[in-house]
Amino acid sequence: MTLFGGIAALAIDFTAVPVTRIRQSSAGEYIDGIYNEGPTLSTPIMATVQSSSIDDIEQLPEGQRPSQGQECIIIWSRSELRAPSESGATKGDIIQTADGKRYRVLAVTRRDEAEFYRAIAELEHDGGRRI
Amino acid sequence: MMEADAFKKLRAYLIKLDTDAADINSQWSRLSDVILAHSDAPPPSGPYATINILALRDTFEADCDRYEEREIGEAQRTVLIRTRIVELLCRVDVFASRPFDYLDLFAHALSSAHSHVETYPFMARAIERMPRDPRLIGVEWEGRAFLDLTLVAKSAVEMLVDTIETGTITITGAGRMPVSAELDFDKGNANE
Repeated sequence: MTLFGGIAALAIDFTAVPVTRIRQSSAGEYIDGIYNEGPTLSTPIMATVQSSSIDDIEQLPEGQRPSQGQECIIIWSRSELRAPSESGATKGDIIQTADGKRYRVLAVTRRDEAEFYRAIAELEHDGGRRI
Repeated sequence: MMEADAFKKLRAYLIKLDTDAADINSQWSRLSDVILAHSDAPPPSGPYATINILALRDTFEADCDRYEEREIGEAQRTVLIRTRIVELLCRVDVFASRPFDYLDLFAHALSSAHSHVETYPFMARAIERMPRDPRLIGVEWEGRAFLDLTLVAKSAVEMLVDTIETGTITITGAGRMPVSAELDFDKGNANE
């Protein structure tokens, strides 16, 4: 572990708060032409949650950037965070904060040298109108 | 329910056509699935098709009202059943290396009398042009083309309506001489 990595990891431990990680535990499947998502598993984890900057958003590929005005956060955690799979078979983790807000992870960077994850996530709006 | 029924019927028919084509021609590359368009889901692997219902339009070819008495919430209520003929504009996208192989088959079949039996109570009425529209996915171009077709169907919707139970109708008129009459109305004895 590098010195700066270690300091960053300590800072994450120091500022982490309890959140819930909701993860699609297996890929969904098509039943009669309609997609059914796989089951999800909720796990309590510790994470530092901060608001995102414009630079954070611009690091994402154009197709993955959230629309303007959409609330985004940066999550730092020792627990594994998962982005959507390349094929789209599994979705990104959902991080539910203590106030009940749900954020969908868009991209994850794993910092091996200090064993933590950094993710960018956007506020999920599910009004029960999904196709 | 109409959207779901139309998707189900059309999907079943397209899958049957594709399966039959593979039975007839051993070189035929079968579609991996026919799915509902715009679902928040990964696409199936291999060639596949999507069905998207784009629009609903009243043709004004039929307009029929019917009434039924039903017990709803422990009360006797009147239900108005309105029946109309509607058109559903549907788009069938085929994502495949040679999408026109499939679309040509679908277009021929959907314009045949055979399809009217298979897709009943929906009936394909018109098939529009079939444009090619390849997509750049990552660094590779993927073959895609689509056809628009119109499905015709009978649509019935039910609505609760209020009715006049009893009352008096007064008729007055003035011509060569004034006339006046009172008629009592009782819904329970409407035939009397």
